[in-house]
Formats: sequence, structure tokens, C-alpha cells
Amino acid sequence: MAKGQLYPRAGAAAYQVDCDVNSEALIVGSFEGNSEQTYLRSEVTCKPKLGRLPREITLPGNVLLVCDSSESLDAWLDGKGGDAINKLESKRHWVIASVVMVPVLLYLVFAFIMPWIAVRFADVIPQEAKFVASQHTLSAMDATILEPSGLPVTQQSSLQAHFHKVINDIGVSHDYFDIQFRKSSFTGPNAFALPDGTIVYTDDMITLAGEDLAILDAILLHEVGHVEQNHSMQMIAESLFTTLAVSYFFGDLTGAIEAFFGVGSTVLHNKFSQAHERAADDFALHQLSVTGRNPEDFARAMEKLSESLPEASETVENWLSTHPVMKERIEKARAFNQ
Amino acid sequence: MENEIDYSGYTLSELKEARSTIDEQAWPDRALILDQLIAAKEFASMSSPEPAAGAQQQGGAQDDAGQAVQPLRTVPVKFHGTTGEFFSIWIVNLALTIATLGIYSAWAKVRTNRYFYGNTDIDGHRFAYLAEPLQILKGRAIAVVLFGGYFLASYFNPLAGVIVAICLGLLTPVLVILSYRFKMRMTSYRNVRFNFKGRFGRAFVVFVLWPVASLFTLYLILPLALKKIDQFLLESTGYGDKSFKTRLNTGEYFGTGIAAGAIAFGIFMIGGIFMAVGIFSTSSGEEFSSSGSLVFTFGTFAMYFLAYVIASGFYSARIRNHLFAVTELDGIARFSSDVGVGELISLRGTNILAIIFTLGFAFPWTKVRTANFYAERTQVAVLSDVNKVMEGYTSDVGAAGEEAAGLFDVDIALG
Repeated sequence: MAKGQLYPRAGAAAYQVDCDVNSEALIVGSFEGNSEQTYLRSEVTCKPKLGRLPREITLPGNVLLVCDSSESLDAWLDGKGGDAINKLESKRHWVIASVVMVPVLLYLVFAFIMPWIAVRFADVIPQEAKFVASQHTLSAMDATILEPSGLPVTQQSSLQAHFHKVINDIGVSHDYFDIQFRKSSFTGPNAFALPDGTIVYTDDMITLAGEDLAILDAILLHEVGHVEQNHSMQMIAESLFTTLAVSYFFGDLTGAIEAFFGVGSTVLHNKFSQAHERAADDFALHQLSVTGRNPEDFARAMEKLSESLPEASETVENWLSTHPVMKERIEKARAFNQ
Repeated sequence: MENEIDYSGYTLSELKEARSTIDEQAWPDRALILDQLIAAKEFASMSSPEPAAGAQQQGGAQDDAGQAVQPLRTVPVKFHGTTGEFFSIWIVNLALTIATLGIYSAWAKVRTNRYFYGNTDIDGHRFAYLAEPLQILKGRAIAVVLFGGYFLASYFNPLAGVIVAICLGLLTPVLVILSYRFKMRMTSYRNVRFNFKGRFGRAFVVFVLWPVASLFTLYLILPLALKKIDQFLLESTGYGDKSFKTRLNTGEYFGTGIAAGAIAFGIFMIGGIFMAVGIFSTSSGEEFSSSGSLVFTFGTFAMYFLAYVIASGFYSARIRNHLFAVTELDGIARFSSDVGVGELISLRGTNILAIIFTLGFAFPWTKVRTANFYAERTQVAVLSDVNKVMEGYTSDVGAAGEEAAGLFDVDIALG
């Protein structure tokens, strides 16, 4: 026998009632001029059992009965086996298993499943879409942080011819490459690839290399690696899926906590980006070596670049950076020779 | 509803007579009220021919609204949830959510909300959360499509992205209304649902025009814009056939808003001075060293953290107390809140730190703790017999509106 509260339909009136169950029926005691009633399980609906919450039972006619949870009532409502999710939540070993599984599952999702989906997603994007995206991106950059190149037109075209020869030397599956030059006071010596195969060098990069064309070749091969392996498209998929996953996994965190996890998703994003950079480095080192060039060229390129960059602290900045630490990249290139 | 007739003294047969003579076309509201009163009385008198006793309890508080009604009783808000129990629920549901790549999150959300609503108790009755997981899942699927579409559009064509962003901005009032309507309709107390009657036009004024206007006044009238939002949300909310009435004070919003802004400004000033000193003392010579940049990174983070926690804690505590003090559920209940500024700031600050340092595992603790905190600082004065509240609004919400409200549980942040 348990105490329950009964709420008739369409109003906020409430009555105290006794509730009890026998082998087949729920018995609701009399109240305020109503006689005792019995209900079969098929006549009532109820919300799944949750913690020690009283059971919310809807009787025919949208009458709500709220009755303290008890073993006999739960068995009558949920059957012999009980509610499956509630059993997981109330058994100590499942709770402990979940504490262990959450970090493991998060790792699996972000380290394997997400990149796998991203690669599949990137593969189905047609070249036309990449072309449109690249042209829009480049014109947006031209309007903001890039200016027309100050290099003489003759130098530009001889460099372009040279780079196309390098690309022809290595076997590539992507068939469109377009080398461009821009001046930028924001990025300094730099080069970047757009998903459709457009590769942009900044004037400062050309100046930094000077006579040492092999440095520019090594950088070209790194950028070709990004294009060949479709990294930009994978990056988009990864950002999209990371944002969605973080908001659904941890959706009810609010305010500053969300901002903290925003930092978390930036770190994740950078981990993906660093993985792409390493893959592009590997591609460049491999191509340098098989086409009879020297992986040392790449090490030299990184050294020149790091000299032109301000010194940065290694650990914290690494989490917050999209690129691996320079020292590590140089060491890897040197090790490739041996 | 003008010219409202008080049917509370009618017997069942009088009600039936009134119902049979009423012109349903001209007075749909009255017809609805009569239907509900008849249903309630019939239920209460199923086995007895006598008029129901339920309607005769404590006939005292029948005064017209507006007069100072003496409360029948003042009751606390109780929260029955415990950290251990909610931790178990949370961690199991989180594991299931990740294992299903987010799909189970709809079920997890329903369980979390049911836990917190169902454990909140006023005057011996608990709240209930009524949403079904599939409703949430549908809303989330739509939100994913919208967000994904916006995300990809903005990448492949930045102009399209800007257009979509502006559309979503203009759509904010619609999303807010749908979201509130869903949330309120999914909340019930004593088997009567809450509802939200906010109109799109008014929402557009409140959520688009006022914020834009405050932008053009360099945020000087931001407190007024915030007041308009609170007022709109509260006055559009109803419980059964009763609605919330409020008399928000513009001065209170300006005072609190300006003080909160000044607190944040002060923290940035003092923090900036400390950081400048810190960077100069750690860096050697003119070189902006790496330890200097570390001081800068963490200093900025700490400053934002302090400014956020202190300024928003101050604002929330003051405005919550004010809101509760001047709001009444028409003739049914008055509220009071005595949240202290210092204690709310320390609650929020320690919550955030606990979550960060436990890598998120303290989240259930912070949620239960926060629910207890607010419950302990809230009082409800029951004004008249809440038994007389009728399920009021259900039939005026068109089927299409209902469908849309069910379709969009717009809980995902879209921008």
C-alpha cells in the first residue's frame, strides 16, 4: 500500500489516494466521493522508471496518478525484467564501466571514426565544388589580407614553368594545378594550397628562398601533398562533425563552461590539422627522395622559415597551433635521409 | 478574455444549462471553460450525485485580481535530487550518447530534464517534463540539416553563408517562440501544462529591433532591451488558464546593468595593469619573451573568467530577485527570491573550476548543487486555491502550430 496523488483531467485539483497492486490490477483507493477503482496494465501508460522519482501513471481519461516507487509497483508497471536503461543507471558496475568507457569512446570517436568519416565525405565532393570554393576563398583573401604580387611577370612565369616541371616529375592523380603569387604584409613568408589545386606563394617566401630553388620545390611538394590527399575537404568535414558532436555530447553545459569546451574543440581541430601537416610533410619527403632530390631541402626550408618566425614557447602553443613544432619537422626530415 | 464570468459558484446542472444556452461562435472561450468545469465536476462526482467537494475548499481568496490578496500559505521550493543518483544517470546516458554517435542524446536529454523537473517540488507537488525523445530527435535532425547547410554554404560560397546567417538572424524570433512554446507545453505541474502565447511580431521587436537599436546607442540602452526580453517572455507565459503578470522596473535594470558593466570594466583595468607588470618583470630586455606571452595568454583567460563570473553573477542575482518580487501568477501565486550576489558568484566560480579540474566529471555535482541553491532561495506564496486553475490554452493552439512546436525543439544553438 502506498500513498499517491491523483490529478483529474483539465484542472489542477489534486487528491490524496491509496494505491496498491495485486497480481493483475492497479487499485486506486476512494477519494472525495469517488469509489475505489481498479485498472489493468493495458489501460494505463507510464513514464519509464528514473532514479527514485515517483512513478507518473496516466489513467484512462488523462487522469494523472503520481505514486511513490515501490518494488511491487515497479514490477507491475515494467514487467519482471524492469526498465533496461534504469537497470544500467542503478547498477554500480555499469556506472563504473561507463566512467571508464566515456574517455575511451571519446578517444575512439575523435581519433578514428571522425577522420574516417571525414575522408569518405571529402572523397564525394566533386572537383567543380572544390573549384567554386577555392575561387571564392581566394577572392575573399584578395579583398582582405592579400595584395597583387610585386614580382616581375617574367620571374613569375619562369617559376610557374619550373614548378609545373616538378609536378610532372612526380606522379600525381589530381590533374589541375595552378601556381600563383601574392604579396601579403600579414602572413610573411608562406605558401598555401586551395582544395582545387591552386597553390599560392607569398612574395616574401620567394625572397626568403633567394637562389635556393630547391627550398621552394620542397614546399611545393608539401602543398601538392595537401591537394593530393584532399586535406581541405577533410578539414571541413572534421570541423563540422566536431562542432556537432561537441554540442550533442555536452549540449547541456552552458556559459563559460561552453567557452572552455570551445577551447577544447579548438585543440581537437588543431590536432586534426597537425595530422594533415605531418601527412603532407611525409608526402613531400617521400617525393623528394624518390625523384632523386634531397629530403634535406625540406629541412632547410623549415629552418629558413623558423628563422623568420618569432620564437614561441613549445608546449602551450603547440596545442593552440595548427602546425606541428618546427624543430620536430626539421628533425624528421633529417632522419628521413638515414 | 474580457467580461469574464465567474462560474466557480455554479453547480453541475447550472453549468450544463449555461453550456447549452451559450453561443459557441461568439464566446468560444466561455464555452471551453464551461466544458472543462463540467468535465472536472463530472469526474469528481462520478459515483455521487452531490456537487463535488473539491470545488468548495477554502473559498476565501476569490477577490478580484489587483487587490492585495492575503496568501493562504507561503511554501519553500524543495529539490529532492542527489548527486550520486544523478551522476549515475548522467554517465550512463553520456556513454550511450557517444556510443550511438549522438543519436541517443535525445533520450538522454529527456531523462535529464525529467530528473530535474520531477525532483522539483512546490507545496507537495512535483513538476513533470512531458516531451518524448522522438520529438527531440526530430528537432535535432532538422537543426543538424540547417546548421550543416549553413556551415557548408558559408565555406563553398561565403556570400551564401552571409545570406543564410542574416536569414537565421531574422528567424531568431521564430526560433525563440517555437522553442519556448515547446518548452512550456512540455512542462506540467499538477497535471496542468504551462503554455507560451508570445506573438511573432512582438518577438521580432524584442529580439531584433531592440538589440539593433542598443547596438546603435553603443549598448547604452541594452538594459532596457534586456528588460523588454524578460517582460515579453514572462508575460507570454501561462499556467493553464492563468498567465504571469509582472511590473518590471526600468530603473532596476539600468542600475544593475550599468553596475555590471562597470564591474567588468574595472576587472579588465586592474587585470591589464597586473599583466603589464607581470610581462615586464618576467621578460628580459625589450624582447617579448615566451614567458611573457604565457603570462599574457593565461592572464587574458583569467581576466575573462573573473569578469564573466563576477559581472554575470551580480547581474543574475539582482535581476532574479527583482523578477521574482514583481511577478505574480494571476491570483494564484506570488514569488520571492533572495539570492545573494556573493554566494551566486562563488557558486558559479567554483562550479566552473570544479568542471575544469575534474575534466567534466563534476558536472552532475554542479547541476544538483545549483538546483539546490536556487530551490533554497525561492519562496512561493500561494494566493488562492490552485485547484481552480483549468487546463486553458490547449484548444486555441492550431494543429499546425502544435505540429511546428513539436517539430522544432530548437534547443541547439544555431549560430
